[in-house]
Amino acid sequence: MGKPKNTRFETLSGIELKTFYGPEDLPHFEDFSSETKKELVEWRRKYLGRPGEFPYPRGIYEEGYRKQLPTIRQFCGERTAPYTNELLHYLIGLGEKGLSVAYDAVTLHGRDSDSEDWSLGYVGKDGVAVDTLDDFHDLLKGISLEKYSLSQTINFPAIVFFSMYLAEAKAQEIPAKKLRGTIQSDILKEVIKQKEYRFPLKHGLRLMGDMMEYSIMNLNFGFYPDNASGYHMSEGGASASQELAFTLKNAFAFIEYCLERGMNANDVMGRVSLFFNCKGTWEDIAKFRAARRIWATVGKEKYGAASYRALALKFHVQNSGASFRSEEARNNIQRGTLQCLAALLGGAQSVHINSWNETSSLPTREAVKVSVRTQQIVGEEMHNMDIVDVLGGSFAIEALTWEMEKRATDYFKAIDEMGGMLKAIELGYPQFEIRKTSLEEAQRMKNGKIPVVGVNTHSGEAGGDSQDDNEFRRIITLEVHEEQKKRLAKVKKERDQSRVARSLERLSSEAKGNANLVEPVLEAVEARATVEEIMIKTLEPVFGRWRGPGD
Amino acid sequence: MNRFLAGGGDRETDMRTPKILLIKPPLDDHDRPIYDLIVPLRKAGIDPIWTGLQQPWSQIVKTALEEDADAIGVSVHTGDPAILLGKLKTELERAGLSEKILVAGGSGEITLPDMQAKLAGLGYKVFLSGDAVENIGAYIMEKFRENQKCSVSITEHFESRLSRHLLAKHITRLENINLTLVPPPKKKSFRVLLAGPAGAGKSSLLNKILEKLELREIKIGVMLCDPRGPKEKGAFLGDRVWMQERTLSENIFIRSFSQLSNYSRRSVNFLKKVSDLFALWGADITFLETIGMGQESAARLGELADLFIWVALPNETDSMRLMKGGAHELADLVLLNKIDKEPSFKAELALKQHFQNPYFKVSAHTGEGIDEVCEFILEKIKNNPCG
Ligand SMILES: Nc1nc2c(ncn2[C@@H]2O[C@H](COP(=O)(O)OP(=O)(O)O)[C@@H](O)[C@H]2O)c(=O)[nH]1
Ligand SMILES: [Mg+2]
Repeated sequence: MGKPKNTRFETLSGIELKTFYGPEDLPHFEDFSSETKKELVEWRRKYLGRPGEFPYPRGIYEEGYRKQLPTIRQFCGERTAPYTNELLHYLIGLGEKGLSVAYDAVTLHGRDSDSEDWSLGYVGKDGVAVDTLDDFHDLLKGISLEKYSLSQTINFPAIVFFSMYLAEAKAQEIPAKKLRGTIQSDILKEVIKQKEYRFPLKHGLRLMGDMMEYSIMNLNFGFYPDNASGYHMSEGGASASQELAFTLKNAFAFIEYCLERGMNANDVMGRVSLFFNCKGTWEDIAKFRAARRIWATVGKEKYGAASYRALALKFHVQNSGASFRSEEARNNIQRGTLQCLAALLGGAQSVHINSWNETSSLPTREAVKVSVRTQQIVGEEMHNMDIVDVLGGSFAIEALTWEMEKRATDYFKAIDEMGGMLKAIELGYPQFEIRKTSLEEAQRMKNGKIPVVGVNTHSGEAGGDSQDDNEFRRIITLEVHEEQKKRLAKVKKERDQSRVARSLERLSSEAKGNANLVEPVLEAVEARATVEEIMIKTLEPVFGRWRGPGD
Repeated sequence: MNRFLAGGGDRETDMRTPKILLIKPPLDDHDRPIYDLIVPLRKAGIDPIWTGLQQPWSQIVKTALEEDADAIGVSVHTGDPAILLGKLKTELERAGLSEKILVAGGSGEITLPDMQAKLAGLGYKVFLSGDAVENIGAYIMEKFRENQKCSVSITEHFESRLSRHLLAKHITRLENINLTLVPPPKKKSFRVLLAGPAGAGKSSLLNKILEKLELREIKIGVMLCDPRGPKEKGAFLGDRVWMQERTLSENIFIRSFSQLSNYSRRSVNFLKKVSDLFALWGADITFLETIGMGQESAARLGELADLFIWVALPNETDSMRLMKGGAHELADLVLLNKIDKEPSFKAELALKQHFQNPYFKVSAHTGEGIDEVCEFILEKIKNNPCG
């Protein structure tokens, strides 16, 4: 929520606040010789700049969060579509402006709920089950796609969910140009870490490229068909600089692929956003600042992008789920709060804070509310966000930001020498680098060199509350599974089978050529073809199953 | 006709270490704990086998059936542990594998006390991240010894045609005791042996060869050998991972074996008998991937092979090396692998000078040359007198 125009920004005791600060704002600045003053100002200009100024280490907006706080975007989804729809309405009621849907493992892997050799035990469990457009429609019942931006974490079958989103917008009679949102679709980080991929890299990239091309032609800026993600690498043990380097490299590899296909750098870069982890450290803040600077510099110098849209990097932050502990679980609220603060100090555009009791089961509504409130408190209550990039100019933060940038560019060099990011991934380089780091970290954790309060330090001092305090909420998976199978069976029975068959045949034949596949997938989706029918039964025979090193 | 495996003599203690099949449920991609387990299990004297990620239950159970491991270890990080592990248990029982030692571990819901109770009820021993890895090994060893005590049936009669299930069981019996197949099968399966240094690409090539052959109407038995270490007893039986897409085929049976570093007479005899059992199952071909080899003499391996294939790397193949003695002298065919990234002119010249038999340039990555290799093998089978 932004503040009204002409608000006087001040501290609680009434000291007026400037938008941002520099050496000129210190009282002893006047004591310097005019020569030194000039140099200092010159130094600030050259190495720090102002918020909203290329290459944006201090943030992409001149006014920072004064106009608009980060979008609260809680990742949400469980059981069936109607059930998650209720949850989304609950979050909207708490003040959310952006929606973020979590799909179940079945959906993420491109399988259907009735495909039991794969799906048993997973349906509706860690996210919502969606098999066909009818589910998607129920998921968004009563939610205007014009009013709420929608973020989908979906990756492997992203093109199916992009198409469902387009189909739903059509049904809501909202012009495509008005759509805002994100689809994660980043298949490269799947190969590096999360492992939800099946096709060889070039076919994975093609699907991403098709969505990008379609978006450039039919959608406005504000819809991001690719959100390159480092979160999963970081949760899987990558260091901050590895997360930074590999995420940027993945995004760059995709951008280069799009440029090769003849798209324009401004069009493409303005439609790619990033997604980072936040563990609440200074290093995280430095990572965010460095990411913006590298993005803008490389975008301009290497890809020739020139527009503000393209060069000003936007990113989403989720706090570290791995940092949350089931021991004395309520301490997770404090962890989440500090991580949220770090995300905002680093200039994130949207944030998700995990709920304190979701380490071993789903969060309760009560806990989700605490997460939303945490973000509102950090953003609004203390007026701390009225100063833009308040840490900018701190020797420590600036030094760390340069260090992050240096480490990332060292990785860039190593990767380029290997023949580029795609080659590096095929060889397993980022995969193995991350594994190395995570082994070292596990060792340090074991030695107590990384303190975790209530776990390896200060544990059991006052008796501890162990797990009794934790209220477990679990999905009765089998019941949900039965319900979802019924929903799917109904769709399968009522749909026009020959229309499904025709659309899948068309998809298969166009996949063999070079055509953009969004239209044919959209046609199949509208015919009520299922996720598995499209991804596994139709596209996989054309693209083939590929496994990266060690998978 | 009735046949039987007749026994006698000592239990071959050096041939038998317990095996554990490590699996992840179908949609659980968190494989790090598997890698953390392998070496500690080897230290405990256990052979771990890893199936690979993202396999449906039918594939997992087929692997469990063929490997007939003593224990099955499941790592669960997502999904409903009770349903997943319950499903596995039911499927194992249906496949006639109800006597397995079952262990499970993971994070998330599996850590909840009531869940652990449920899983104990299903017969799983649950280990969590707080437990020492050594405990897992110790638990399996203890259970294994108990089970070994009561399984000593020596002679067992069976029909000439073995089912997949019986084939697996009889191989296990062969592993336990030195048995003889009476009478020996009339129709043998054609034995193709793949040898070569570790990392030359034997497993990857075998995967490609199987991919082609599985399309034909022939049955194939595969033996994969991996070494035990000089220090740690257990062997990591990891070759399966390279051919995991093949493990679904009804025409293929894959079994992993741990081997001491050299091929003793006893182990060669054992492998021969396994291939005889494969023949009774209906295998037309048996592939045997050996442990990585260098210059040690492995003359006995020659006895095993109807066709001896040596897999070599172009960069490591030159006149100097070919003039020296080594297992490559046994080869009927050389495959120069990885030609997608290594130039082969030097190796080709050396082969032309010092090797009388044919060679092919191949790549397991691009598939180049694989068709020719398959044709060559099939041609050999056609002309094979024992076939
Ligand atoms: N570039 C390339 N790499 C290969 C080829 N064949 C195998 N490899 C790689 O070489 C390594 C060893 O392969 P593997 O099949 O395990 O060898 P084995 O020890 O002989 O069974 C793996 O990393 C393979 O991916 C090939 O034809 N080309
Ligand atoms: Mg091998």
